[in-house]
Amino acid sequence: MKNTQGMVNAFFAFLLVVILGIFFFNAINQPLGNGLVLNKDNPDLSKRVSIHYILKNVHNAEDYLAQHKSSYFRNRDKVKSSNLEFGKTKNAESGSANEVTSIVVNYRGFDTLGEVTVLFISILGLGMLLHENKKKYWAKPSLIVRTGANFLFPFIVLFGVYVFVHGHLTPGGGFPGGTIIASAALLLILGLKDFKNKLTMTKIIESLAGLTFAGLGLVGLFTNGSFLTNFLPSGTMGLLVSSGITALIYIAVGIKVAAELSSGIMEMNGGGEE
Amino acid sequence: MNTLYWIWSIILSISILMVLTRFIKGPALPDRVISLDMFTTITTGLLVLISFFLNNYILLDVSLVYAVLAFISVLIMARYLESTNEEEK
Amino acid sequence: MIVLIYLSAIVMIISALYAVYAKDLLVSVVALGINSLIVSVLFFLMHAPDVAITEAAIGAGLSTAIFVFAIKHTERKE
Repeated sequence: MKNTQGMVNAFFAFLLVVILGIFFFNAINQPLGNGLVLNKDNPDLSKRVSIHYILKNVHNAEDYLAQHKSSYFRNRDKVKSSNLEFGKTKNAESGSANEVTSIVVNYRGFDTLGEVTVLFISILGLGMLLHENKKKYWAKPSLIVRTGANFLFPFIVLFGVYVFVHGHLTPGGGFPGGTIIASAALLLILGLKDFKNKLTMTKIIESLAGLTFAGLGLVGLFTNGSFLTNFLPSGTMGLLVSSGITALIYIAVGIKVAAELSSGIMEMNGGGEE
Repeated sequence: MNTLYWIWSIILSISILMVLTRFIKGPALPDRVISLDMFTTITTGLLVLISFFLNNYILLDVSLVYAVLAFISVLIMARYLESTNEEEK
Repeated sequence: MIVLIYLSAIVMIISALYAVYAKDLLVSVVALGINSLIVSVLFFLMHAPDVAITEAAIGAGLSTAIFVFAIKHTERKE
């Protein structure tokens, strides 16, 4: 009886993989064209909200539509957009050189606050379930492991801080930077002779970083009129001090994720506060 | 330049298939852990090669992350096996 | 480029089958590590470096560690 149940499950899993594979191969092999969804001959773009994000410069959108009306898709390569140059453009609209960062923090910043809240709730649940946990037994580490852990720990922390401070210039950002620092904490658990949990200080740091993120949004509310506006100037694109509050928000998110995941790993190790 | 790209890709693909053979065949657990470590090292070189041929130097940061984190995933498997053996004694 | 996509697909299918059908749970953990590595290579081939860095940092370090801690609490055979 058990074997037939396993075979039926495997058959349905195979069918699902075949259907998803058909979708995937169609998406890769489609011919490059002018877009599949809109009508190519007579598109009416002025009623769509997304017209301001298709064209490369938000301020020119209405002028361009009044001028060209329906031949946008054929002349898409000739759109006059302002040339963005690394190190020379001043006062662009959002100012960061990394496109993904300006969407995550500037145009859709409220969703990032929701993501940070979801991480916080899940680590809270983990801490409540593993409250009285015996300390795990690790054997005494050999000389190579001890020397390697003591030598590598500051370099991994430095690399993690580089990834989240330069979030608006190079790929990365707050979330992978915090994860790399939590991996450095894991290296300390495995490599030292006697490791004591330090849970109180980690949780205080995490709460203060979360308060900073919400506090920056409230400052925007009281000065400009809506939550999480960019109240600092954009500056020159490509410098470290540029693009308003994106750098400050990513520093707060990086420190918060690092402290959160480190406290999660320490609680799974067990032993409570010592 | 195109033929050189094909030759280097094929050489790296053959080395990935050889490492995968050791993952399938290996009778004990440390064989599989060693194949994971070699996968990470070969992937670091492969990503640098692809970013050179796509002329896009901003993609080099991914190889840095793998070069740093390859050590930690092998270390935790080795420490688990060491602790289980000693606790049974 | 097409050769690399097909090769990644073959390695991902083999490692995913091992992750589901292995009797020893630590072999499943190693197979999940290989799967996460190949998914990161696929994201890289589609010109998305932010997602590739996040998948590399989570799959190589933390996911393996949390599974090994959970196996240390319970038993190792299936």
